[in-house]
Amino acid sequence: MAIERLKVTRLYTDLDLGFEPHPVTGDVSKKTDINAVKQALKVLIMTNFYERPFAPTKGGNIRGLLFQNAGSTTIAVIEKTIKQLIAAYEPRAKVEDVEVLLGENDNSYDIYIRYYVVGFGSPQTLYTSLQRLR
Amino acid sequence: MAQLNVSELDFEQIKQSLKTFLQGQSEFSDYDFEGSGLNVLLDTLAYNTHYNAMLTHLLANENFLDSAIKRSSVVSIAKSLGYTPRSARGSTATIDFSVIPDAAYTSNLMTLSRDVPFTTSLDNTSYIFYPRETVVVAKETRTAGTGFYFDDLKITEGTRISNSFLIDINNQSGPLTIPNINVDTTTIRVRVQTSGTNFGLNTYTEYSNFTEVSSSTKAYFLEEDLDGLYLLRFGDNIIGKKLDVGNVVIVDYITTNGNVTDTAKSFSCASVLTGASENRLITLGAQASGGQSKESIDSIRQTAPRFNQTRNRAVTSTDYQSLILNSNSNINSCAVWGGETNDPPIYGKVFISLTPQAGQIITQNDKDTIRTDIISPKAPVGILAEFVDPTYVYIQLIVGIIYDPKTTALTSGQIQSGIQGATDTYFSTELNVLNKNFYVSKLHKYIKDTSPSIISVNINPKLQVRHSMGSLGLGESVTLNFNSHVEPRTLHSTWFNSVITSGDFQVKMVDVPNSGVNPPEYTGSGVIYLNDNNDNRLSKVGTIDYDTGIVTLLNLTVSSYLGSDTFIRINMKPHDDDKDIKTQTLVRVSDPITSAVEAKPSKNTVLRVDDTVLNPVTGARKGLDILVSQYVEDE
Repeated sequence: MAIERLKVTRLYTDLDLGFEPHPVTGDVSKKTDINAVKQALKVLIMTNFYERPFAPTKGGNIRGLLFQNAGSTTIAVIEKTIKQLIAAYEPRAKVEDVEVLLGENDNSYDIYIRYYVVGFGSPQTLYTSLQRLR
Repeated sequence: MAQLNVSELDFEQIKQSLKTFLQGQSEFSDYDFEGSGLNVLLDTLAYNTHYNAMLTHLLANENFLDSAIKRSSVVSIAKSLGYTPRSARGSTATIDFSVIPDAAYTSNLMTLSRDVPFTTSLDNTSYIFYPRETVVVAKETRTAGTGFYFDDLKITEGTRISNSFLIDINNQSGPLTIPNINVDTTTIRVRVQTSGTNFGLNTYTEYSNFTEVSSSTKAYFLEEDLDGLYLLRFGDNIIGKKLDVGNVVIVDYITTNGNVTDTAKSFSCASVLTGASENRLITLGAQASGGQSKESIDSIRQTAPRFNQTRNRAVTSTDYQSLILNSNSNINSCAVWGGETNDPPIYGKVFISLTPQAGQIITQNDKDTIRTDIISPKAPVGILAEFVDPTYVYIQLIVGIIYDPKTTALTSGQIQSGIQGATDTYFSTELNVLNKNFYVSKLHKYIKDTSPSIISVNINPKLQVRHSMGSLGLGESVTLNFNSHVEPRTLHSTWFNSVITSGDFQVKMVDVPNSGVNPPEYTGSGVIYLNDNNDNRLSKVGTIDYDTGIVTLLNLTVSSYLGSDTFIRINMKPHDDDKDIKTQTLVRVSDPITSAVEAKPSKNTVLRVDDTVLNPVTGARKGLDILVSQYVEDE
């Protein structure tokens, strides 16, 4: 009986920045497709001005906003910044909505990014929590 | 797999090369998205590559004289070419200093120490000058009285400093660093004291040529270090004498302010030298000049290879120029030519012509030093150096300008002074030195660039040579050279008094062409007459060759000059075909059929702008006449 093998086509393939070894091969792990885009969005949000060599304006300076007065103004700025950041640097993600909630108990912002990955039908949500450490 | 392009230096291009490289694989595809992990990794890789590439690039640049930027690199490369960059130079003045001693001073000799300060003041700031050397003179009697006369005393601006270095096992050959950046290295004196208790002194001399140094020569070698300070190195008992442990090296020198005190003219000496009632008098010989800051990087870049080409030998004319110009900062320009190109050819000789810096003179002493210390030790055997005085040809200019007043806010007076400035700039930057030609088209450009409103520039150059008689009242034969094809009936001189058979007359020179001197070529010769102020011909005084511009005056007697002049100005118009004035001797060849004229280099000619002021008494015409008129619209 013939065995039919289906080749899985990956649209996006990236390194896993956690650099965890693959449990079987021991090689560097990969992030693919939706996970690759999700990792890229996290990297973008966490990138500050002057971090990337020779591209001082690449990034959103979100970390800087954590030191502003916590309130609706800062929330609006964070939302807008994230939207602009993704529109400028991540063409694979089509953002539906960015929601930033103030976590008053632990002085943090909970960020929900609802988006579609180009080439994939299901909506995605990226949740991350930003909290200043000092 | 794609090829990796490794020739890029720019960060973005390196990153793009890495992306292009990654296009050749299918394992990772996200390298092109800015947020991807791979992109972050590419940033790191590209930055590292860029960093290393730039470092390598800079290192390579610093290895070559043409591209090195850091002074230490340029100096280091120059060192390998045997060239030590010139240090700062103190302004040096020449004075005649006399001391009529106090009655209590009975010695017939007087020593003027090099530590005696002379003071001058410029812009309300005091500066100190010191004699370059200690001088001893004997008492003598002159008009001013019996005393001590220090003639032609050279004094140099700066602060005299002395440093001592104790020699131990680690620095017997040096290096000893002179801790002052503005040292004038020509004033360095190095003396070695035997020890801290034995005060016997030996003077060490600077050498730059190892061939003259034996194992016992008390020599030191000078070089610039990485910080721009000067180092003294001593011998190793093979090349030069090595210092002994316990020696004390005493180095004294002048640190200078460079050219700040150039033009200082008035000096005073407050030191009491022989006693309280002595009388000190200072007469200026030559104002301070020759001050220079440390040699610049660009200058080292330019000079070091040329110095290396000479290999410390005087063979070609540029060797001579390089050695002479480096030897004496009073020399403004230098021209050297071999006897074979001289007119007439004199084989076995090298001719040297020098012009001094403004306000300076080149004394016979200077020339003797150049001949004996600079040239003779480095020139081939059998070649004799001979100095030729520079000759000056002054260019009188009548400049006609038409400008459009609608296109400028400048007045005609401002345009006139702008043109005066442009002319001065042309002469000061491109002429006034030996062996440089005057081009009408160049001056035209200088003038035109002063204002866009200038529509037309018309330049008419004329020539002037000047002659000062050796002594008044005595006949003298002299040859003057306009160095150009000149036009007949245009020679005229300023008025002077001359003894002619029947008495003393106020006369001027004029020329009258011989028959056969016809337009438009005006080839041939003429006679020069002395005319009185009624234009009567009184006497024939010489001849002129119109092709070569050579004026030969025979037995000319000048009894006195008019006005405040101390020389005769002789003007002449160059031929219409010869508006560019060149520093060439035009020589009529001996072929009697063609009587052709050929040009030979006359490197001792200096072209200057004629600075004559209009003077009705002497008949002198204005040297630079600028006529400015406004543009009238065409019909």
